[in-house]
Amino acid sequence: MRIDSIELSWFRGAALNAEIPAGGKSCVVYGDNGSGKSSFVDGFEYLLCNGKIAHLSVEYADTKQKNCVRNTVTPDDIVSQTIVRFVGGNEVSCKIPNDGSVRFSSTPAPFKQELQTWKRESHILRQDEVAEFVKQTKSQKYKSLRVLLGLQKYEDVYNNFDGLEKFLLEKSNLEALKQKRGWIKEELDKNVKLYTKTDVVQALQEKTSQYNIEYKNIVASASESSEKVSKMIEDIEPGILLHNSLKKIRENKLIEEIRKFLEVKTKAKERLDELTENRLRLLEQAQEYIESHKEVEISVCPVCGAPVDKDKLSTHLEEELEILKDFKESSEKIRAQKRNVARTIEELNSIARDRVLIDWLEDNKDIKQLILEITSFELNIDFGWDIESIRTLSKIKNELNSCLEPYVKEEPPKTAALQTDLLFFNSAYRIIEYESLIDHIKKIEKLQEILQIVKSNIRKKINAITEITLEKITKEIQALWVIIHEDEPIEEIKLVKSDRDQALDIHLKFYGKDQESPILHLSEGYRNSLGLCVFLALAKQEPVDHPLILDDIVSSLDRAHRAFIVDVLKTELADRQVFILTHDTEWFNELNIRLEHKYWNFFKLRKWESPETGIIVDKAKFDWDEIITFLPEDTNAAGNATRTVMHHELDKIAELLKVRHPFVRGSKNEEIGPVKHMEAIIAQSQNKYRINIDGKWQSYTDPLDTWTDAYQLLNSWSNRGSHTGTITDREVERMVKRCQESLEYFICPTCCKPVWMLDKGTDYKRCDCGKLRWKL
Amino acid sequence: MRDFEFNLSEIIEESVSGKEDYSGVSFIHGKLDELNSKLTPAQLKSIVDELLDDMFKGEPDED
Repeated sequence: MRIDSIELSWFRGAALNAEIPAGGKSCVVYGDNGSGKSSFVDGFEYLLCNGKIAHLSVEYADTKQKNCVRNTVTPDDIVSQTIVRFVGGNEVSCKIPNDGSVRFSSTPAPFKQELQTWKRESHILRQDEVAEFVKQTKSQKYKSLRVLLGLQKYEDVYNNFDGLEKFLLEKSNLEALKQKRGWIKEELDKNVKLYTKTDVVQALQEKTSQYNIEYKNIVASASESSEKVSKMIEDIEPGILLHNSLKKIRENKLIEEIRKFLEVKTKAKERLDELTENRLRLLEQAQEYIESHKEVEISVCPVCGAPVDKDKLSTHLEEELEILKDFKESSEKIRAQKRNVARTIEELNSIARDRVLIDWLEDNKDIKQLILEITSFELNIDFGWDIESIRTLSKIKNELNSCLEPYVKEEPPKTAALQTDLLFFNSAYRIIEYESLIDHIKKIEKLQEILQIVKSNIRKKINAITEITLEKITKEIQALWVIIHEDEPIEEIKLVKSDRDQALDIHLKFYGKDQESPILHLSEGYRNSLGLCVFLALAKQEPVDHPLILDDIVSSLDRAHRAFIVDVLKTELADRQVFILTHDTEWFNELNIRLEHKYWNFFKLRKWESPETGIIVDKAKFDWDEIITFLPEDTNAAGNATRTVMHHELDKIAELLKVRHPFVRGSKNEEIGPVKHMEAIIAQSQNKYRINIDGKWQSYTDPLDTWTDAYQLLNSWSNRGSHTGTITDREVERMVKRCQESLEYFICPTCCKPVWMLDKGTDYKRCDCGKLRWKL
Repeated sequence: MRDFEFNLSEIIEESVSGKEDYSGVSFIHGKLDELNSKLTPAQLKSIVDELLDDMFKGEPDED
């Protein structure tokens, strides 16, 4: 399942047909920032994730993200497309026309579905995702890895049982049933005091027999008994009510109130008599006084009219006031007591009008007559209060009381016991529902308990699988870490399960001490490196023929550690197809030098000019055998390929041999081509390039003619479009030959290793045997 | 990494082992294939409806 090519057409940064022709090999793609490297990753991810590109989903959540994958200047009638072809003929593509539709297709047809079972997270790693895992919380780490660790399907099963428990409680109305059970229990507590059907049946049998009812079953017998007891209570209750009414009439306070009235009335009469006598005496005294004191000035009392000495008038008036106050008070007492008597008569009248008494009084006419005599006694608060009438009223009440005596003497039968039995019968049948509810609730609770045990056992299983899986992944991580960070103080990196469920963490040793979090001790570079190791360890769990795409993943690593990444590629990932995308020239050249071209292809993306021009991919490496096949028919292709090879190779050689160029301002430094490199190498080789002949170092001048010829021909090729430069087909053939020979002059004729093979201190590079050397 | 032993039937057997025969467990046994794959809430609710029917079918509510 190796990728043969990734081709984009008006997709993301690409215009017409941008292709990485991997041919099943691993690839290194170099390009400046913005040259379109990630568009190829997007194209692959779009197909892998059925129209989703993760890093775009924050801004573009529309269906299949169709609003952001088409090149912004794509003509309306042009269809954007991404195609991934695999070695062996399988391919998946997606066409995105301007009409908003998205059409996936694949060869063979089911292959798209198979491809989309691949997990993005273990096939694609982008620069901003490298350290993401390391920085996550423990539960986020678990969430990130559970799919990759193959735990998701077990989590799905756990979630199913969790859902079963939740919906069991919801759909069975367990809480409502428990509440109802509580209410019935309260009723049984109050009226039955028995809690099993057996006990209730036994009690029912006993009680029904007391009422001469034959026991049939709980519902029928309780119902029959309830009916009978209700009837009994109904029969008894009117007698009780009548008794109570008669008792109330008898206990009516009329006689007592009349007695009180007579008392205050008598007392008031005494006061009135006293007042009258007092007035008479005053009149007599006044007459005598007037006779004997004709010459003395006297006054007349305004109250009683009696003559009073002026100096005694004040005292006299006070006495008069006291007498009148007392009199007034007596008068009020009489009126109050009159009201009390009237109220007691009204009360008696009210009882006598009660429905319970009416029928009974019809049968007891003498009593009815007495009541009528009392209640018809017309009393006005100011009139009709002569003492004799009032005393008669008292006598009638006395007579009434005597008549009632025999009826109230004997208490009617009590109904309390009957009421208790009635409540028992009315509630007894609830035992059936109560027992049924208990059984129902018990079944649900037991099943809930089982579901919880199953969940707990599933979780234990998941935890066990997690630990085994983590152990395996940890071994991979450690193997990768040791390659990149040999002899460094951070060691024994472990992915471990946290104490709580669904949580993971990374443990490590930092200067020999166990640390439970990598965040505290790891620099950004180490975090990236660790994140990369975790990704690669997980990616290695995927089938070996699945490709890996690493997009700018070494940005924060220093040169030494990048070199170790090459070792990882050559050892741990040697059997996999890897796509490395980078904007770093040094890293690209190092990969170019150290990775075997038999297994790796190298591409360079040109600087991205505009949406119309799009992405342009140049092959950074042609085999000379391949270039020669272009000749003699296609000298143009042969010339271009030669220049590309020379550009690439001389870039690499110039860097390794530290070939100096005159300073050029700004980005033109990046644009030094093979002609400039050749020119500088020819100029500097005379002082720097040495060959050891018979133990003596001499300037190595043999390459100069070939290099000079190659330089001139390359220069002509570069200027062939201008009015000053022309190059014939024969010259192109010679250029191919000279360029091939020029590169061979960097290889030692004895040991066949390049002159940059070994460092001799910081001064020289040399071949393996030491015959050639280049002064740095 | 994908071949770990995860037998749901065995997990359920282990969970009810040594306990009285619970109502509903045999029904769940019959749904193992479904429960072994990812189910939506609607599917789970439907299973619970069936489960409750199965648990309480024909249950007398009179003595």
